[in-house]
Amino acid sequence: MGLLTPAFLVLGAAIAVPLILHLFQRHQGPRVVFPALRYLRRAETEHARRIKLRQILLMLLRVTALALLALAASRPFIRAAGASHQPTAVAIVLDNSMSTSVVTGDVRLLDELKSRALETLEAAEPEDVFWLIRAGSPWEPAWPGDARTTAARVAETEASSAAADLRAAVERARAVLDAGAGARAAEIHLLSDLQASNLMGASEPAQNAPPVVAWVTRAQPPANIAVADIDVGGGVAPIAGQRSTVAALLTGTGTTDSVSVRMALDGRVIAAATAPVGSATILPFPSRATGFVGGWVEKDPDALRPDDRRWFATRVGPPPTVAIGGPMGLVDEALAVLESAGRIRRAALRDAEVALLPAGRGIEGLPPAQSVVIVAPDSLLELQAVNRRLGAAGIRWTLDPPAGSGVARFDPATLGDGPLRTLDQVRLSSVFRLTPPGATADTVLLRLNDGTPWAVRGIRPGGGRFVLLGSPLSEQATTLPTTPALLPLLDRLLGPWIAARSAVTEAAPGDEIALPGGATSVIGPDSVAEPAMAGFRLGAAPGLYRVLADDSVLAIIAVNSPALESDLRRADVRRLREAFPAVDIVTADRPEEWGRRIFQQRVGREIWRPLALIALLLLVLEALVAATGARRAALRVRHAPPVPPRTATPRETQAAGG
Amino acid sequence: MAGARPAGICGSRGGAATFHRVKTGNKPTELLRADLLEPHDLAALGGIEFVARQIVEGFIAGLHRSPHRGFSVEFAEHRMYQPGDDLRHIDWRVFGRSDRYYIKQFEEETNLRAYLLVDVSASMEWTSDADRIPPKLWYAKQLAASLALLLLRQGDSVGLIGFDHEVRSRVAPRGGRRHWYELVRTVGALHGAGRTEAHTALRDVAGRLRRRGLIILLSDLLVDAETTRLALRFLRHRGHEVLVFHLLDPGERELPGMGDARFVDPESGEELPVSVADLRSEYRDAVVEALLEWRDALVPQAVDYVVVETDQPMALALRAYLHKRERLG
Repeated sequence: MGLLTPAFLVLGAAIAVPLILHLFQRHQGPRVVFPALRYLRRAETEHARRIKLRQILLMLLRVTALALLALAASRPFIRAAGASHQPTAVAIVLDNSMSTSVVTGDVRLLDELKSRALETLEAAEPEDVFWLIRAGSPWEPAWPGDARTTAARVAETEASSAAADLRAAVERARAVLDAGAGARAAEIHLLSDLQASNLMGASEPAQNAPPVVAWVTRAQPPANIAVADIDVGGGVAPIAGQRSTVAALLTGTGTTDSVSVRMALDGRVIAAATAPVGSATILPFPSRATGFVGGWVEKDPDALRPDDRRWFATRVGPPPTVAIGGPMGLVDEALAVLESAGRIRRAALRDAEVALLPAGRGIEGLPPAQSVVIVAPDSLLELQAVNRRLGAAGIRWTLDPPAGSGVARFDPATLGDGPLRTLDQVRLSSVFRLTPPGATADTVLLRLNDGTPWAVRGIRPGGGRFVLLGSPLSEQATTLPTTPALLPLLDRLLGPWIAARSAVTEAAPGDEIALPGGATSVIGPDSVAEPAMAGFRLGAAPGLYRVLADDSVLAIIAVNSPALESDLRRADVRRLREAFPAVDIVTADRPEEWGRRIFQQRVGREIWRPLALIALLLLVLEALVAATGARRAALRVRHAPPVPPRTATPRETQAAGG
Repeated sequence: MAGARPAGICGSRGGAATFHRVKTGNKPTELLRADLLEPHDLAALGGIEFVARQIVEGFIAGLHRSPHRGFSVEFAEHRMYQPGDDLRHIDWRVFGRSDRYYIKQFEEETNLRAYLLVDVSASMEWTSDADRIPPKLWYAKQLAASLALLLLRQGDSVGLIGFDHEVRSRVAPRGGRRHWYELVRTVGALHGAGRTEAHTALRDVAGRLRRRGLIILLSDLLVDAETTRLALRFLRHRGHEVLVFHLLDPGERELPGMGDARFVDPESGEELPVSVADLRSEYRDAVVEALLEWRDALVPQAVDYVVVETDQPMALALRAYLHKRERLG
């Protein structure tokens, strides 16, 4: 049972009046001279018990009648016994993430979820308000509207390629309801496949959180194999004129151990293979001229189509020309290896695209547009000189003495899963603190395990880039020169990290990215050009996004769904409750059950009328009980032997023959 | 006639019927007998003597229209018939023996002794509505004076006792019209005070009446019922006729309209806190039961018991007396 106007329950306090009168009444009235006191005492003595019982009965009748009247005034109704409900604000969290594209039987899961949402909207009352939150399009706002407009938005909802964060979506729903529900009841309708990867972690326990009605689909997730990752050149950008490889990782579950994959570059299929599930398949990347290259790797279709194809983009270019500002021991030898492999070319210091400068020596003689890699000095004694050079070159970062002693290591979280992973074995015995100039937009490329930056990248006033390293690359300062990690580190350092062009080649749908300077437009997979702007937000569709400066391509960005979105395993109801502690969660797995569960403040038949009627009857009964004595006395007089009657008027007496 | 009199009163002389002009609502002014006036109107007429006389005159005027034929008389002697005598009074037996007409002459009975016992306790001074209803004692005084006048006119001798818990005043029974004035003076001097113990006065009467007599008790009977009934039975046992007028103020039948109150007995000073709403119907029951108990206790003893409410005209009480007196012959 529920109450439509619970504030009126305060009227129930009125029951205190008869209670107090009954319990504390002491007959402290005026003093009345009355000679027939013996009749009064007699009445009280003879009827004391009955009077007491009658008083209790009257008190109970009055209390009950008042309580019923107060209850009737608060307009009670029987919950879930009718089609209507009290005004409700509903936030519909509709999961349109990639995983809801899965088809089970003949039905796409997203269509099932949309059907439930439309059922909610069909059951709406005119006073209801709705917000539609597309969990798979988190960059979209929460769409407010009435049932009709919200139904239209639900109908036009399509699956995105993004992942859903159900916790974040529910918290958004909670926020919009807090702000906009007003006096209405509030509910969150969670329509999702409850993918386990979308329910990581747990929300903070919320107080007075609106209830969540969650749909639990009964269809079991089908087997799904996805192209989960693509690695071009082992993490090293292809060199123009050189062949490379593309590693495609297939993950998932299924009855087959291997599937057919194809790879296309610039729209043309150039390779195919039968790839085992659970491991990477190497596909050949042909020799290409300098420029950006985009392509995809695709497998045979299954129940979830969007993850059968994965896009990639890379920049094919000539190896950078590198000069070194002074002898650096093993680093010189590593550069020779990279040169022999065609990854770099040697050049004079002033002509090189990238200058590698131990202790920043010689930076003052380089043009401001030249990119430099500044390595920390071997000795503390050079520290002030290095900082002077940095300042003179317009680099506002400073090197400061280390805060403590001991061996430092790299923070594994900044190393990624590529070739730099081996840096986690490196020990750093000499580390300078890289102190920023305050608020800065410079990028920290690598951090130590205490969180302090070790490698930072920025732009010099003249347009050249700089990378500042916090340790010298000598054997005395670090084990780095003697580990296999040195080569990939130098390759990154002298290649993509220092390159003038955008290093962003992969993003998730809806990500907001910084476009390279000079960008004028972005052409998406649908070939529609959008003007470039700071903080450009990518679309929801997967594919290749080309960043243009007029007619020339500045970058190609491959937009793919997060690999975890291909894992269709679902969370159970227990996990759902764990994700939202202290929240009233009601689940439904059948459409008819959904119809019953939603609108928990359902107004069944209002029962104030029968309650008021009962209260009225009780009051009538109270009046009858109160008048019982009078009637009884009248009956006795009627049936008693005649006592001389009263004479009404003198006229009557005279007429009687007096 | 009415126009020659002061407003509101019409009178008569020499025992003629007396009528009073009374305004009754919007209706035209009507002439009513004093014994049929409401006590409130009677109280406006004057003192006891005047009022009682008017009541009795009015009452007797009413009797002339009734089938009542007169009072009991006793044979005294014969005398010679003279023209004009009522032929019904000729003694035909004497005529048979002597062949002469003799008329039977009768003598009024004068040997009934009546005592009027008037309760003058404090409770008798009470009225529930001082503007509309006179106190019970006022009513008792008027009734006693009227009854005394009626008795004396019949040739009876009348005595009076005023009592509360003891006898306060006493007038020995005598006959004659003049005696009535003494009775009226005595009655007029009575005022209510003290507790009521009717059996004291009843025993006093029992000790004084050696011949069979008529005892008329005027009281609100807020007394100890057992001892009073015992005393009344004793009187009946001694052969006396007893007539009890139970005077009841209408406000005693019904509790006043109020919530809580502390009711105080004017005689004993006892106080009883009561929620009127809770006891209203029960009190009404108790009053009716008490009246029925009095009646059930007295009527089997051949004691006439009459409940007289003090807003009723005197005629009802007088009629009750008349019935009693007729039975006595």
